[in-house]
Amino acid sequence: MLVNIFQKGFNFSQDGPGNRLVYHLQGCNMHCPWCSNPEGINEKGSIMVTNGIIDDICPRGAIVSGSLDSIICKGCPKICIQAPHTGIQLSYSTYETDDIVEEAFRSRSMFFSNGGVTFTGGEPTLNMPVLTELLKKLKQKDINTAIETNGSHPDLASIINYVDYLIIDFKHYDDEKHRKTVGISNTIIKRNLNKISFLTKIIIRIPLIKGFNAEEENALGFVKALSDCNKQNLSIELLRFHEYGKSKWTQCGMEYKMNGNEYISKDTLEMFTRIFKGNGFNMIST
Amino acid sequence: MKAYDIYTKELIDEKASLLFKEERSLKRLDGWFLAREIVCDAQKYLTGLSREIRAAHELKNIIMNIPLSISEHNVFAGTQRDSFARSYALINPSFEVETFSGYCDPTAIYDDIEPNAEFTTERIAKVKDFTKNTEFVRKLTKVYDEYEQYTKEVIFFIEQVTGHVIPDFRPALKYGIKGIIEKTEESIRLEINEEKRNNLIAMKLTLECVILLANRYADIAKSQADSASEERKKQLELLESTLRKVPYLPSENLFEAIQAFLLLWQVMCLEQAPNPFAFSVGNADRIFEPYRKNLSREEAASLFKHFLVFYNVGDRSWAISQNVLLGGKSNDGEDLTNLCTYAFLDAYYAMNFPQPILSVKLHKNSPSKLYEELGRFFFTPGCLTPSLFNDESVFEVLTKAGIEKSDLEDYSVAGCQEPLIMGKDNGNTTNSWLNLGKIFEMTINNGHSLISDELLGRTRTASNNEILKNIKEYFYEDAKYYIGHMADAANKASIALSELPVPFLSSFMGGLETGYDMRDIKNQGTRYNASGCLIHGLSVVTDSIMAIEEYLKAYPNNPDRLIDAIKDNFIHDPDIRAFLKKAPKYGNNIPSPDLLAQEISIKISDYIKSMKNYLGNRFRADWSTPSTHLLYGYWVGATPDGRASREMLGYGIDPLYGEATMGLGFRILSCMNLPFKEMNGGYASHFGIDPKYFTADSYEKKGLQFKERIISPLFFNDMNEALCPYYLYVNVTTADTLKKVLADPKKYAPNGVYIMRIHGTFVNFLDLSPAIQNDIITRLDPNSTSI
Repeated sequence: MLVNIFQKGFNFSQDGPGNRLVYHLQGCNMHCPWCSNPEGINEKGSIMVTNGIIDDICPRGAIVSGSLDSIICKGCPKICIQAPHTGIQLSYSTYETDDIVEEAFRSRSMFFSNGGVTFTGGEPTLNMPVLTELLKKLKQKDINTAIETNGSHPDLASIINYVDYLIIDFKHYDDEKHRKTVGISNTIIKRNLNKISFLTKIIIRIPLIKGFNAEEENALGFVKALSDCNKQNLSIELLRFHEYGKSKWTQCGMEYKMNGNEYISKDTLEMFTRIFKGNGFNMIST
Repeated sequence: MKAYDIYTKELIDEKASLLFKEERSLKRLDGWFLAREIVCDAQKYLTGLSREIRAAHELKNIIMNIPLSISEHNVFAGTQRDSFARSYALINPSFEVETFSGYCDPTAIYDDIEPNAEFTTERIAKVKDFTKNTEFVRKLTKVYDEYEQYTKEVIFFIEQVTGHVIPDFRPALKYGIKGIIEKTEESIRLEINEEKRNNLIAMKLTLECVILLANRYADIAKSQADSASEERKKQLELLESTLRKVPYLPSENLFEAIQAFLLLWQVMCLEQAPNPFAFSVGNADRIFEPYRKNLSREEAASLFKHFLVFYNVGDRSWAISQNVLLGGKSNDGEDLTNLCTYAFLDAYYAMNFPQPILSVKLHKNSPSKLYEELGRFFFTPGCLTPSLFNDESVFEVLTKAGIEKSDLEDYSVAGCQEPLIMGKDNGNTTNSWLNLGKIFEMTINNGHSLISDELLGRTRTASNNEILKNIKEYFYEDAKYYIGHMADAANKASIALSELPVPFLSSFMGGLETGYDMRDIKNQGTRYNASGCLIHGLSVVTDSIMAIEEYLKAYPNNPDRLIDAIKDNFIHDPDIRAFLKKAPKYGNNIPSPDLLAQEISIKISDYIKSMKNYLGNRFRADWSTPSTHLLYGYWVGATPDGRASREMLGYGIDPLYGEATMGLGFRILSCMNLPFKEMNGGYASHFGIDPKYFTADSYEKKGLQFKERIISPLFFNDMNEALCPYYLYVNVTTADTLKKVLADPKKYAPNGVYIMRIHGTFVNFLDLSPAIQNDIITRLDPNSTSI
């Protein structure tokens, strides 16, 4: 089986315990405007430009003064990346799943402090058969596994036996706001959180974005949405808004819609923490 | 009378700071010239003497006549200021990669002196002419002339090795020079071999020099005491009485031991002025701990601050690459850190001087406390950071290289990272320098330079197609060919240097036992002897061969396109460069290039180690590139890995900057494939680490995180079936931070000092030439170092 990966490398403890080899799988069914890996959103991959790009490479004029307009790329067979050119590349590379498993096994000497492999994205469950095969084969080799998912796959529970550390992002409890901002409903996500919390431990990550989900009423809304879950199996991690991926939106020729006013204060973080803790939730920070 | 009967700790600290400030205000260093002038003037009295005895008398003349002084801030007497010139390229603001041509001409240093009323043009010319006509310079010049074809665009480079060893002064501290001289006199009486007897007499004469020096300083102290304040008078009386005692007699406390050590060092450096670079103190904490006695860590640290000031010379700390080692394990595996280890660390941290270099030896059972105490060095912006050595691996490397087990714990580091045994090992570490990048250019361009188009190397009758198809085999053949010539040239440089015997240094390098000078080319004066070769260009050659393989798959019938593209520096064919850049690169945990890097490093190490030096001992393979990856890269045209003409080569064993894009974890995994056991001369590797990856709330805890996330996986990884790496230096900072420091030094380095590591040494970042500053920034490439 083949898998498209747009980024890989080690990360310590932020995407699961210990030192982890993290694979970012191409394609996502959400389009969060704050996404720090925008090149991973388009399932077919994103064309990315960097320094040294020559405008003439695109006969349709998608590149002007070194900047890309990805709207013009729609429907194009992308001949610009069929042969290598300076300053332009497709976001992902394609691998055999066995090669990924072999690479992970070869890298096991770096899985210190109970580390292992994490699949994230994009959205790793978008290609469930591939993800399942990868997880199964890693477990056969006794490698610790983690996934970070947006929780939207209806059959997410089917893979939990192969996942040692499950991270589910939860952007908003309100379906309308969720749908409007990230593009899909949160119904399945809430269902999955509830169901899986009775089956295994989950780390729920909530990105706090001012103007979207960072007011006190939102904290209470999240608490209410999670109140039917098995709290014993839940750990909540609050993530502060950041703009680490900002420049990549430009590289991909995509419009970056955040305006820099979305950062949250320390007080907001403390308020959320207090409300969650007050309602019996376990809080973590990685 | 003891130091702390006279001084408070605070006063000693204050004097150390003032002394450093005073030293940094020195804009001229003329002492080395005076030393050479004294030698020049003394020749008329030294005719007819043997080379060894003449050298001893030359040193004695220097010690008798060199002007001495004691500053009001001196707690100890002594300086190495008179042994160094303001010449070391990398901290010289006028240094440029484009015009640097190595240190071929030993008389060029005279042209760096700025004449004035005291040091007139005529006076300088006289000593320069004398030097020019010495046998040493004549022989050396001949070597450089003979091999110019190979050295002018640096296929290889050679040099005579001065400094670069680790004397063992422990017997002098323990028994006093008196004890050593008495033993030497006995050896002289019993020696029947006239040459050896002569050598021993010369060594004895030079040992007396250090007593002479101590007494000269004692006289100055006595004279100054006559007119000093009551407070200073007591200090000078302590100094005088100490100098009358040591190093003549055994040292009995830390104050005496430090004083004795400094004078021994001073004489050793004067013997080799103006080129005593890269001597090493050795395992300093172990040397001084027996003398600490009841002094506290804080009290010892204050005295060590003065010890450290001594190693800083002039306005830019010109005495570069002098290494102080701490920590490590014994031959039986016991941890050897002691209270002096931590006192030294305290002194280093408090003073944050640009010199001397600090190296810390680690092993599996190094105490957590050591890592906790190191945290402050790594995580304080602008603070010096130690080089790190892995004793577990170094012991195995040295054992394979023939070092006896009983000597292993005494390995130390001379220069940047070359492991040598204290007092027993003359490794001639920087004798030869090999540029694999240029050799590869000779192979692919059939002996012609891509820089000048000149025919420099050997040619073969082969088409471009044949060359590309057989590139690896041809490259190995060529490497072997040039390495042979390089070894010949290096040996001739060592033979030239033997015209300058060093009886004083030899006394602390085993010469008193063997009866031979350590530079003797017929009889081995030290227990261990070798010649070094620093090998450049591993990543560029590996990546180039990989890229050619990919190219031949895509363009099997068009070899000329690739050759034309590198001849043209890719200017008219940027697409082929983009293609080549996409080929698999070493450093990303991809098996094919990583295994190729392994194969190349084994083969080239073997070739080097098969070469014999002037004594019939083997060369040692040292994969380090002390900023020479810049200098040598400048002479290498475009390479098939997509590297542009004259760009730098990779640093040491590291991937080429910008090519290891998968982060530090993959870099470490790639690195683990290399054959460290074969790298018996040393190697270099650098990690630029973003401090944000260490999240603990104190330096101590960050130090432990550093151990967990960097050191343990790299050095002590049980899952690594091969020998783990044994050397690392780090800069825990980001390129953006350094750019800010350069843009606004007053804000980020208010005292004018911002310490960074450049290779084996650390320096004041603000003292560096722009080319080297830029190199440091470039190698902090975030893609290759993210955790």
